[in-house]
Parts: sequence; C-alpha cells; structure tokens
Amino acid sequence: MSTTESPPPPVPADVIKSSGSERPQSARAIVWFRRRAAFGAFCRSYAKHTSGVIGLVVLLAIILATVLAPLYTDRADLNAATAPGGRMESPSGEFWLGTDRTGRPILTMIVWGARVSLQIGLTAAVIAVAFGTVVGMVAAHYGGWLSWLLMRVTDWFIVLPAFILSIALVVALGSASKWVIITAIALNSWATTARLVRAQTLSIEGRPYLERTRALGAGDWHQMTRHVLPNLMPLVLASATLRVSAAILSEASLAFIGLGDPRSFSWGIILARAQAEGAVSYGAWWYVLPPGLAILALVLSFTLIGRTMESVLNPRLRDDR
Amino acid sequence: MTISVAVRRSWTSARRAAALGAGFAVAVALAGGVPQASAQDDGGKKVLVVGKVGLNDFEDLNPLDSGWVIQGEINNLMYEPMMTWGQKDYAPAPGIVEKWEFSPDGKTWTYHFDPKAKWSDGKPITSKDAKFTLDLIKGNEVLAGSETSLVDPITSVEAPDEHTLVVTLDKPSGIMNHMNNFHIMPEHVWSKIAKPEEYQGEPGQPTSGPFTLKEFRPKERVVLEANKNYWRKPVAYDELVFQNYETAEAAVQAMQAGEIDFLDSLNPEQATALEKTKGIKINRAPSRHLDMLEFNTGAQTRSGEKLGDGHPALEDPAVRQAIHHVIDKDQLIERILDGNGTPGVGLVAPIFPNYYWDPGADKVEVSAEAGNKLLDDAGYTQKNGDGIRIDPRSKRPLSFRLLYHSDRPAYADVVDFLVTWVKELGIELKPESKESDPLNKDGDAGKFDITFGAWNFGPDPGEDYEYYTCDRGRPEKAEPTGLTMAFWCNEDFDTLQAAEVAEPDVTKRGQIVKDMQKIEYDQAPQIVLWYDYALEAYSGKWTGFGTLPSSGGAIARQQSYYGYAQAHLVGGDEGDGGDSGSSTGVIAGAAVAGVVVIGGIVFFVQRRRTVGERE
Repeated sequence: MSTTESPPPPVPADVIKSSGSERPQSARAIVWFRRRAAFGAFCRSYAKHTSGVIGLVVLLAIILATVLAPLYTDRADLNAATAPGGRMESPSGEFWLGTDRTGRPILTMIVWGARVSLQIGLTAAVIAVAFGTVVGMVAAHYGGWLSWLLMRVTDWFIVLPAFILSIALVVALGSASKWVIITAIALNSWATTARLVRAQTLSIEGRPYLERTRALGAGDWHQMTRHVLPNLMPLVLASATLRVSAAILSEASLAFIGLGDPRSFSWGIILARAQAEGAVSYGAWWYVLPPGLAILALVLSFTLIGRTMESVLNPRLRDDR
Repeated sequence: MTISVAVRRSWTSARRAAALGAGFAVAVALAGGVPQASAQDDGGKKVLVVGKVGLNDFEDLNPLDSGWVIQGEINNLMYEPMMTWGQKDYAPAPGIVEKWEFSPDGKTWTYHFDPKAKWSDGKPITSKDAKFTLDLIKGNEVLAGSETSLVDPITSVEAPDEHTLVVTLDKPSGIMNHMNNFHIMPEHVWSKIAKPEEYQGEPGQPTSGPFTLKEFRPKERVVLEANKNYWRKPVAYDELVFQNYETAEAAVQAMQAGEIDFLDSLNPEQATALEKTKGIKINRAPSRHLDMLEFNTGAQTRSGEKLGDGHPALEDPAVRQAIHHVIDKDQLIERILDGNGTPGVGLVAPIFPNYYWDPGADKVEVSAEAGNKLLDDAGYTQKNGDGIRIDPRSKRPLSFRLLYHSDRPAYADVVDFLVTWVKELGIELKPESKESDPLNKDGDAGKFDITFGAWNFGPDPGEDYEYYTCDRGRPEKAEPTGLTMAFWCNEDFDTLQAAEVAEPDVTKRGQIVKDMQKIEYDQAPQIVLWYDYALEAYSGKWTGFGTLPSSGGAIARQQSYYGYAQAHLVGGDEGDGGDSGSSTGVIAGAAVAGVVVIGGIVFFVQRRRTVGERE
C-alpha cells in the first residue's frame, strides 16, 4: 500500500532498528521488508481508530453480501416478469423487506443494487483521482504555461456546480447507461484532487533529495514515478476513499431525479422507483428506508475509512498518543 | 405491546401504521392533529382547492395558445367554445353557437349564435367577436401555428348579423363541426391588445365561461373566480384555486392533510392510499391517455434516402405483428397498473364511442405459437447460434434496440416483460435507457428500432392521425422530424385519412376513422399497450364533479369545463363529513407508529411469526 522507498519514511525509525538482526541482504528484499514494515505499522496505527475499524467492517460486510449474492438470491427475482411476490407486500418471512409494485423483493434489489452502487462509486472515484493526480503532478512538475493552463481548467471545473454539470453531461451524452453516469461523475470530481496533488507535489519536489536525484541525472519520468508518486500515494489513497463516498452520493442523486438506468437497481434507482411508485403515500416504508439506510451505511463506511487513513498517513493529523 | 395491537389490526391498518411510523409520523400528526384546514371555507367563501403537479410547466395563460394540457384545462374553464364536446359521448355540442349547418359540398358553414351568450362584463357575445378572433388567428403567424388544421382551409369569415357567422372553406373539413374547441375573444377588449400572441393572462379580463381569472402567479398558483354574469348555470361555489406541487407525493400528503380538495394523475398506490384515508373519495375512470410501443418502420425521405439507423426487419409488418402476438396486455395492466386500465387497440380510447374501433374477433391473440408461425411464413426460418432468427434480406439477426425513458420506471418494468416474451419468438431485445430529451431526439432522427410513446387522443381524429400519414412519415428533407411517430407510410391509410379530414358528417367520419384503425391494427406501426385509467381523489365534502363522458370518465384534464364547474359542496355544514372520528384514529396510529420506529425490528419478528406459514 504505502510504498516508501525514499525518505522521509512514515515508518517509525525504531521499527527498522529493532528488527535489525533479521535484515535481509538484497536491495529488493530491503525495499520489500520496509514496505511490509510500513504496512504493518499502518495497520497497527489504523487499528487504534475505532471508527476506522467500524467503517472497514461495515464495508467488508457490504462487499461480502453483494459478492455472494448469487449464492443466496436469484437475479430472476428482479425481472418484473418473473418476480415472485405480490404487489407492494409488506415485510414478511418470505420477503424480509417486502416487495415493490411488480413483486420484486426489496432485499434482493438492495443486495444486487450494492453491486451497481459500489461499481459506479469505485470506478468513478478511481478515474477521477487518477486523472486528477496526473493533472496535478504534471502541472506541478513542469510549471510554466502548462501549469497555468491546467490549473485554469481545474479552477473552471471547481467553480462549476458539480451536480448541474453532471445532469447536463448525462443529457448531452444521451444514454443513461452505467458508463455515462461514471464519466459524468468522474469528470466533475477530479479537479479538487488535481489541486491537492499539485500542492503536495510542489512540496515534495522542494525536498533536497529530489535535487540530488536530478543532479544524478534522473529524468522527469523517473522523478515522478519513483520519487514523487510514492510519496503522494498516501494522500491520493485517502482522497480516493473519500471520493468514493461523494461518487456514490452523486450517483444516487442523479438516479433519483431520473438519470440512470431504472433496470439497474442501484440504490439511488430504488429510491427513485419508490418515489415514482408512490411508496411514501402508500406507507411502504420498507421500500424507502432500506435503500436510504444502505446508502448511509456505505457512504459512512467509506468516509470513516478515508478519514482514518488520512489521519494515520498524514503525520500532522496523526494522534498516536 | 402496542406493536402486537398493530399486528392484530387489519392487515392494511397495521401496514399503514408501521409505514407511517417509518418517518412519516410528522405528516400524520399534521393530518390528524391539526383540525381540518377547511380549504373551502376561506372567510365565508366557498373555495375548491385543486392540487396540480405540472402547473410550473408554463408561464402564461393565453387562451389562444394552450400547448400544455393543464394550460388548456384552465383556459377551458374561462372560455366557452363555439361548440363544445358533449358530455354524454364527446359528440360536438352547442357552446356559444346553438346550432350550425353546412352546405352539401361541406365548404360553407353557417353558425347561429346563442342570443343569451354574454361576456362576464355584461356585453353580448356576437358573431362579430368570432369573426374578429378567427381573422386574428389567421393573420397571426404564432397563433395560426397552433391551429393550422382549423384555419388553413378557411378562405373567408363573414358575420352578416350579430348572431350569424358564415365560414367559407377552400376544401371540406370535418373539424368545422367543433372548431377544435377554440376560444373566441371579446373584440371590444382584444382589438386593443397590440401583440395578442404575447398575452400572458391578466386578471379581470372579460370571459365567456364559468370562471374569470382572479389571480395568476405563474408556476405557483392560479385563482379563478366564479363568473357572476355567466349566461348558463353559474357554478355553485366562489373560487377555484390551482395550487402547484413539485411532486405527486407532496401533493398526496397535502390531500391527506386536507389542504387540497382535489388531486388528479395519481398512480395506483397513491390512489389506494388515499382511498383508505377517511373523507377522501376516488374516481377511477377510463381516460383518453394511452401508452404504446412505436416501431421504426423504415425511416426514409420521400426520395428514398435512409434516415437514422433502424433495423430493416422492422419494415416488415409480419415481424411487428409477431411481436404483437406475445404481448399479454391484460397481464401488463394487472401487474403494472394494478388493473387500472383497458387493453390498447388504436390511438382512439374507448371513451370516444363515435370513433373507437373494437377489434372484436380480429383481436390479436396472445400466442407465441401464432407469432412464430407468422415469422416462419414470412421467411424468418434461419436461426443463429443463440437461437435468434435471421432476417433473410439483410442477414442481420432479429435483435432490436428498445429505447425507454430513464425517468419512467413503469416503462422499465414493461421492458422486463417484453424482453422475456419476445424470446419465445427467437427475437432479442436490447433495452437502453435514455433521458427523455436525447430519447426524443433519437426518435425524431429515426435512430431507434423500438421505443415507448404516450398519447392523449384528440378528441379530433384528424390532427392525431396526421402523424401517421406518408406526408409526415416520409419527410421531404433528410432531417430529424418530430411530426411522425413511426415513420410509417401506407397509401390505403392516407386515402382514408384524406377522406376523414374532409368529411363534414360526424357519423360517416367516425366510420372512416374506424376503418383507419383497422389498417393500423393489422399493419402495427405501433402497439398500443393500454388506456390507463384516470385516478383522481376528491374531498368527501365535495360532490357532483362532472366526468367526461358522463357515464364514467376523468374529472381533470378535460377539454371542457364539466369536471370542476359542476362540483358543489355536499349539503349541510362541513363538519359532518365523517371526519370527526378520523383524527383520534390517526393520532393513535401515529402513537403506534412512534413506537414502531423504535422497535422496528421487533415488528419484523412479529410479522414474521404471524405469517410464518407463508414459507
């Protein structure tokens, strides 16, 4: 995870010293040893944060539930033509969270919907963060007019109201398919990462050892991939984790106002369907509450994890007392 | 404790209580706790308050240009048309004109005005006003644009005396029987309006109908005042208020809270919920609205240049009809509309007896076997590795894109059924959801195979069926067109359409329209899924709403004023509407609900126990 080849290592110095007798020989082995040690230290530090652990447990539970979904649910139950239940049934032993208008079990909808929500959230966040990182690094490393241009574009995306932009993008791109939604969300959430990464890159490149590498003849590529990026990774990872939350919420919001594939059952879509089918008027709380709470749980878990990673990885936020 | 009480109550009330508990306790408290807002008793005035979703679609109330259904609905309440739609059967009936006749060639129409008719300012409504308005529309590009089929054939309009209007046409036109319900304006006021197309709707203007405009806050609220000078029977109350709501769900809550007296366009669940609310009654009645599947029947220009990218196999009526054979409309109505609809045939809904064609024995039988036979006979015998039939001409598999609206889950549910059903024919559907705007753009450009559409019929068949003529279906230029639905062209149909538009006799015209529907039903450029019912709720304090048709139809969204104008308060004072008992019941429900919120899980366990045998 957090690779630290060059100083300053986030690994406490004493970790390496205390196990000095077992220190392996080859350079590669040393690197891997240090990485393991760093990861171990990260985990120990992470484990001290109860909220982070709770977030992780909730997230793993959600992932497990949805990955194993085919083992205990039938996807055909989500097809209106083969849905097993009656119209708007309230929760029962057969349908723990009741059914929708065409008799689909809400629980099955939510379990399968987690896939869609997670997939869209994760993919959009990864794309946004990756793109933002590249833009930020390039802008910081090369400087000059390129930096100016990239940052103005970034600023432009920052000041645009993100949600409105997403709506416009989905409509302009035509289809309301998964990939269009992902693109729309990613396109308006990379800018903050770019800003963040640019600032951090500038600070890393200001360190003396990078001057040394340049003196030793390292090219742009080497500097960025071997020295800057590894030092950026903790920040980027924490940022990405928090982006996932935002992306999941964006997806849910877009879906709720009718921008999304109503046959995909992302949690936002389930809420949109509940709204369209009059679930609130009908008093079908089992249709409205569970997807809402599911979104809350998933977003909260990502936020907790992200915040914890941030405070563990960022020495300034660390409180190892 | 409370929970088990809830469980022992009837299935529905338990569900209701639990449901309310889950976050809606506030709404319930409002509904039950606050004494009825008694909307119709506003300072001694009798006020009928109507909740509207979609009032924010438009910003003006120009009686000569009502593009939106709700705009038309409101203008119809203020302006009496020359001829109106008869409440019994939609047949043209006297409005300001008490009788009319046409010359044997159908080109000269004479209208006799009702001498009693007068504007709300007391001045008589004369044929001069009608001449003024028709001339105004004809000479105004914007206004004429929305009334082309009415004004195009008119060559001259004369008013030989105050009560007679003679309209001369260059070709016979059936539309002159009802003048498309258009509104005539008072010459003494409108002759002074410089730009009539920009008229926004001003309070206090003289009107000819049962109401005048009292207040107009665009996108928020429209207040109509009863026209004291109405020359027919005046309405039995003082004011009619249209209040905008952003969502149907919000409006339903307002209805339950007693803030509004009437609400239309409910979905089945909302209607069921309101039906169970004390003091609220439901009107479930056939409407003129339908939903359908549209095929791209081979979009091309008049010169044969291909438009868009439709699948060539859908040019073949056999393929379209085969798909028709596997669509179980009754099942769709049952599962999606909860039974609130009737199976679709053509564009004309059954509430129009003059025009509706009942297929009778020709009804397309729901049978995959019949569909398969149709395809086999038409030569689609080869199949690819996935069992999909191959079009012998284009060599492409019968795999069609099915576009549906991303914001209409009901269509998405229909898609599930369609995909499953057409598999039995060796046909594949590839569903693709799009937001309405891009979806319509694709439709206009012919970039689709199959898509969904909705329609409100007429009630004049001429304009509606124009969308299915070759003139529209085979556009002159290779450009997107919103004037056709299926890019369909059928010469027999065109011949009948031309005859129908020109037929001045209502009965004969009806027969031609029925023949046209038969052709469409056989050729299947579209498959009408259902005519859904109008689901409308009204406060039990009101009664007498005039449905159209009177034998059972919608109250709202009419092309006349019967719905609201005939309403009146139930006799006696408003306290005895059976409401008194409801507040305690609902408050008890809210209390139960509150406990359920906390003990939701306990509730689950309880429910699971009670219905354990279901597993």
